[in-house]
Parts: sequence; structure tokens; C-alpha cells
Amino acid sequence: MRKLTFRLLLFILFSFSIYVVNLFFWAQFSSSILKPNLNFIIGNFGHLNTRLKEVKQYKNVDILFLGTSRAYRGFDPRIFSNQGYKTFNLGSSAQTPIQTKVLLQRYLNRLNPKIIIYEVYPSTFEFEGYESSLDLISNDKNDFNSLKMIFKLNNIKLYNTFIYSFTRELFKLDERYHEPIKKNNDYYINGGFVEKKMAYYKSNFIEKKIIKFNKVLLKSFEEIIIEIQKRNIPLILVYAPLPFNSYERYSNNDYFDFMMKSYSKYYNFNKIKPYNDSLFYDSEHLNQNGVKKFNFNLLKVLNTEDK
Amino acid sequence: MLYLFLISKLKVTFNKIQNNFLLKVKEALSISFTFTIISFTWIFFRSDSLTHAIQFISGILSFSLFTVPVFDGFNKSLLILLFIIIFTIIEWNGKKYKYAIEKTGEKWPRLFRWSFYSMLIYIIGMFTPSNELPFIYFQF
Repeated sequence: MRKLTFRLLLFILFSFSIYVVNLFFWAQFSSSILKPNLNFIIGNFGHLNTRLKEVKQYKNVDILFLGTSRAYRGFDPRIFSNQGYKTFNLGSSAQTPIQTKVLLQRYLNRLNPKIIIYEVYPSTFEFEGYESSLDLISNDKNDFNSLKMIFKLNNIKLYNTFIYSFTRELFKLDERYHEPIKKNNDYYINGGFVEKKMAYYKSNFIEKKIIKFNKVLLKSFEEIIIEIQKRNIPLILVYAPLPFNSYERYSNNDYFDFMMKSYSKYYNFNKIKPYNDSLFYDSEHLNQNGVKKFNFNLLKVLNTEDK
Repeated sequence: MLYLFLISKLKVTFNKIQNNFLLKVKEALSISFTFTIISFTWIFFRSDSLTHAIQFISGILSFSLFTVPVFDGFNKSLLILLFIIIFTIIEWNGKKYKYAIEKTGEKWPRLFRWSFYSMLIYIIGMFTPSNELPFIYFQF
């Protein structure tokens, strides 16, 4: 029995080594069609690579922004800086509370914010979280938190990408990688913001939906709230503006508002002031005119909060 | 005398190989024939109507059969075809046993055998389908 256990352990060690070596060379030299379960996406959409390099140079900010692409495309640090606030935006594409938690564990101590503004909307609690995890694994240093994150999501693509990304880190293959500041119609602004070239959204028919909360995501969200409350950092949950059709597609918006209000101070900007479609560039994101209007309205709210 | 003995022995061996080969070819052909017939009848079971089935069959038998098809995911289908060929060979070789690879590498040195098993684990890890939704959000 002991011999069998020993051989089994030896085989596990052997096959794991073969797996890692194979994965590394396979990823380097084969075409994408031969690696369906590997999504290493350094420097993809959203400038996460640049943002996470920049965050390491920031300390003690006034406001920390969290959330999806609607956060890193919606809160412009230049507007807040003009009002005397030092901000950093830790948003990332399709970010769910699982990734938010990882980012906070890595950077909250360093950033030591006076206020946290967390952009929430129904999809925050509906995304599967695979895309955003791959984005994070590929563009930041991996640690024990990454491992916990992928065990929670338990997906083969995440395991493979984590092993590959970790191997690349060991051999320091991405040390010299520099993401371009301007990519297609996106321009990275210091402080984590991505400005989109001006475009206007043409409203389309959008199918109706009911907001459903994923239990795993909601649990991570609650853990984040508890952690922030423990540190006595004021937290503001913000539902950033959506085009009318995109907002009205959800038949139970009141339920979402009720849920968010139960966790912390919450502002739904779709109810405070209407934003017409000309202030968006697609069905989810504000264009620069919209960002300006939204940020000024948010600043008004913050100033009221200060008083 | 020895020469005649060797010749006769060689003839017997050659006949054995020939018979064995012919038997295998015959077996392969009958399996392919059954598979083709079964696949063909599926057209009728899966079609909405008889007219639809006939249209489908005339599509298969048209001159386009001799042209290289062009469609999205053509490379992926070539990869699948390659895997089908590999799996068919493995299945054919292990058809006597309960599992196709039951005896594969049984007499190989441990290092080769373990490497083979590790490669199988790797292929499963790289090609097993994962059930997530298509990644559309990154376009933003």
C-alpha cells in the first residue's frame, strides 16, 4: 500500500511537471486553434496592464473607484483632480466582486483611500467572471489570491492560463512589455481612466430581462462590504447612467435598488437625472460628454456628503 | 533441401500476412459501409420532411462534393478530423479490449508509459470543452 501511494505521488509530480513544460512550449509555438483552453491576454482591451503598473506608484488617494468597464470609462480623474481630489480607478472589464476582492487585497493598503466609490449594475452580479479573471491573471503578478480566485471559479481555461502566466513570471518574460497608451479608439489617461474617441450611440431594441443575483458573486460582494466597513472607509455604491433602453430592459430595477441600499450608501444616477442617448457611445458606456456630465453630478453628491 | 524448406516457410508466412491483411481490409470496409449507411439514414430521421431530406442528399451529391468547402471554422474542423483519425486508429488497435488503451504501453519502460499517460492528461486539459459563454465583453 505504501509503495502504491509513493508511486502515485511520484506519478502526480511527474505528470504535473510534464503538463507545465508542455503548456509552456505549446503556448509559445502553436497556433491559437491548438490551444482552446488557454487565454493569455496581456495588453487586451481596457488597458488593465498599464493600470496595474501605474497603481504601484500610487499611495494615499482621496477616492478609489472600483467596478467594470463602466467604472474605468466613467470616472475621469482629470475632472476630480480639478476639484482637488486625488483619485485612482481600479476598474477592469467585466469585473465581478470576485476580482474586486483580489484587487482590494493587493492594493487597498497601498492606496489607503478616504472614500471608495464602487460602480455597480445588474451585470456585476450576473457575469460568470471568467473573462475578467483571465484579464487579471494575464496582466498582474499572480499570488495566492489568484489561486483562491481560480479555485472559486473552477474553470480549466483559468487553471491553464494561471500556470502559463506564472511560468512567464518566473522567467520574467513580460518585464519589458509596454502596452501602447493609444489603442484603436482608446486612450489611457493617468489614474486608470480610458477615454474613448467621441462617438454617439444609436438606440436599438433590447430584449427585456430580470435581474438575478448570482449567489457566489453576492457572497464575495458582502465580504468586500464587510472588509471596507472594518477599515472604516466610507463606501458609496453608484449605479452609473445607462441609455434609457438599456436601463428599462430590466423589469425589476426597484429590487436592485433595494438590495444595494441594504448594503451601503447608494446612488442610482438613472433615477437622479436622465441622460439622453447622445451622451453614450454604445449601449453601456458614456461618451466623453456623458462622462463630464456624470462626473460633475457625482461631485455635487460628494460635496453634499462632505457637508 | 534447406532452400526448398525456407521457400515453403516463407510462402506460408506470406500467405498468412496476406490473408490477415485481406481480412482486416474486408473488416474495415464492412465497418465503413455500415457507418455510411447508418449516417445516411440519419438524414431522414433528422429532416423536417421527405422533401427536405431529398434536398439535403442532392446537396451532398452535387458537384460541390469535389470542391474544397469554405466556411467559418474550417481550420477547427480540420483539427477535429485529425483527432477523429487518431482516435479511430487507437480504437481499432484496442478493439479486442474493454477500453481502447487498456494495454497500450503495458510493456514499455515506466518512463515512456508515464510520459504517454501525462500526454493524455495534457490533451484532456487543453482540449476538454469548457462551458462558459462566449467572451463578448472584451470588445468594450
